[in-house]
Amino acid sequence: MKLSNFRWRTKMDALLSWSLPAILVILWQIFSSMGWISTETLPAPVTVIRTAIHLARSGELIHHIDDSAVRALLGLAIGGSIGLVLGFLNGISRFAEKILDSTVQMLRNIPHLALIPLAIMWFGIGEESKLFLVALGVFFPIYLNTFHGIRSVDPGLLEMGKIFRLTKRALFWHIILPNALPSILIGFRYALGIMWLTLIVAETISSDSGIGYMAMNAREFMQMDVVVLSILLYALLGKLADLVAKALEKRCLRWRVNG
Amino acid sequence: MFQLNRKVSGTTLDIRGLKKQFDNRLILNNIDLLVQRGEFLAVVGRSGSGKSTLLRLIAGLEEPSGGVIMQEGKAISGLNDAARIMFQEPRLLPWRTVFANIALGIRDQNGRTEKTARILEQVGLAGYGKQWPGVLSGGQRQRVALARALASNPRLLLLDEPLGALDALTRIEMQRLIEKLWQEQRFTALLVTHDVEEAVILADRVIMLRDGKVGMDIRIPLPRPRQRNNPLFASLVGTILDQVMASTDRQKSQTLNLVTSKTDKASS
Repeated sequence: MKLSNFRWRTKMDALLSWSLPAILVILWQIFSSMGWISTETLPAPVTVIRTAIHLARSGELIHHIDDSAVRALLGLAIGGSIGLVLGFLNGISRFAEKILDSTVQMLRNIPHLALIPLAIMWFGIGEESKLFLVALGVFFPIYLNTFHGIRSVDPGLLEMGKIFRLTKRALFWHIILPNALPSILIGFRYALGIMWLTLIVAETISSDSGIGYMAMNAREFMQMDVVVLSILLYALLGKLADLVAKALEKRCLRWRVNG
Repeated sequence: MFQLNRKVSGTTLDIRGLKKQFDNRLILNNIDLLVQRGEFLAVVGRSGSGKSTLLRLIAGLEEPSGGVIMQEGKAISGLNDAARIMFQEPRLLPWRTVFANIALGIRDQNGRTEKTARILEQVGLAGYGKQWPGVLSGGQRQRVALARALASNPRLLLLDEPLGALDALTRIEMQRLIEKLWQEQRFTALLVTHDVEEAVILADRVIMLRDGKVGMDIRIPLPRPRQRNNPLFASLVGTILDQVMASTDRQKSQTLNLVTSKTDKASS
């Protein structure tokens, strides 16, 4: 009884959180049909959906989404794992921190998008330049949060581990890593945002495929519906990434009673 | 058959001329102390009198500045393998279940599950194994910490104001539990506390630290379980309290020093 009640409530919550976007789309459609919004400013939702179906049928849409997704995930994997490893290294070893951390902090102050011209000159407009930019962008939040998570370990717990004769490896797996996990996941969520942002900019400026390219290409032919579709796709993909991050947090941080 | 209620004999301690200095402050100055096998000793004193430092030295968490701690006739160096500590905070891993937290205290893989289940039952938390520490009450968390400390059958249990953060009723419950487990397992116990009543309820002997030395050493001849309404109990508590309070004035200047040096550290 209680459980079904709970389920019903979560369903209601989900419905409520989607109701505002739904209402906005409906209003948008109504205003477009009434002619209050000119189709040159903004195409009607129905037109956008029709375009989406059309592009999906031709395979073009899937092709672009696929290219963008691969870039995003690969860049995240490369930059994220470097950030993770370096964060662990500098968090655990004071020596490594002394050598590496101030350099990382210096680099962090350069907006990574400022490197777009350099990336194009180094790698051309192929995959490498976009992977480089995404990897660089996601590196910092993951590095910083991993480092901070490792350093914020409760010394009382470490002392307890010492008294119970935990090995260094056990200290890491039982105390240091779980303690850092919430912070790492925050870094991950941040990184997902930066990942999309970097990709949009990189694909818009220089590319021959991907959602950003699709939008820029459509602009040249004044295909407003494709431009709007691209923007909506980014919004949906961003939301999807956020849902994945949330699910991961829920799974990894089950012990947080009031989480 | 699994070893149920295995009798563990406690260690003896023979502390001679123990000194501990932090920066320029002498915390412990020539402590001489003998602890019998299986004895329950309580250490009282004002805050800053070095009670916790003494405990940490015995655990091997700090190095003495002078003197020696002999355990079973051998000087302690490095971490004390026979000892387990229980702190004022339970220091449980919030990301591990109650069961896993206790199992952490057992190094031997053999029979780890059975041992953990048994000690959980002994501290009155059978059925709580799968819970996260975060859902437990303060008293229950300390029970888990006690179970973890005792899971490996230590020969010396060091209690560093373990009940200080609990409410009065829970504290009495915990005192009974500690006494019961001590009587069953026969380890040597050292309890640091600022609660004189607690010291008299539990200990065979109460010592007080003053000016870094053992300033008082009183045997508690009351039969167990001890009653708080026993007139001898009240008079013993009174005597010890008087002694502790008498040491206050002399320590005031030192405590002040401690406070200022602490704030210096915090602000720097």
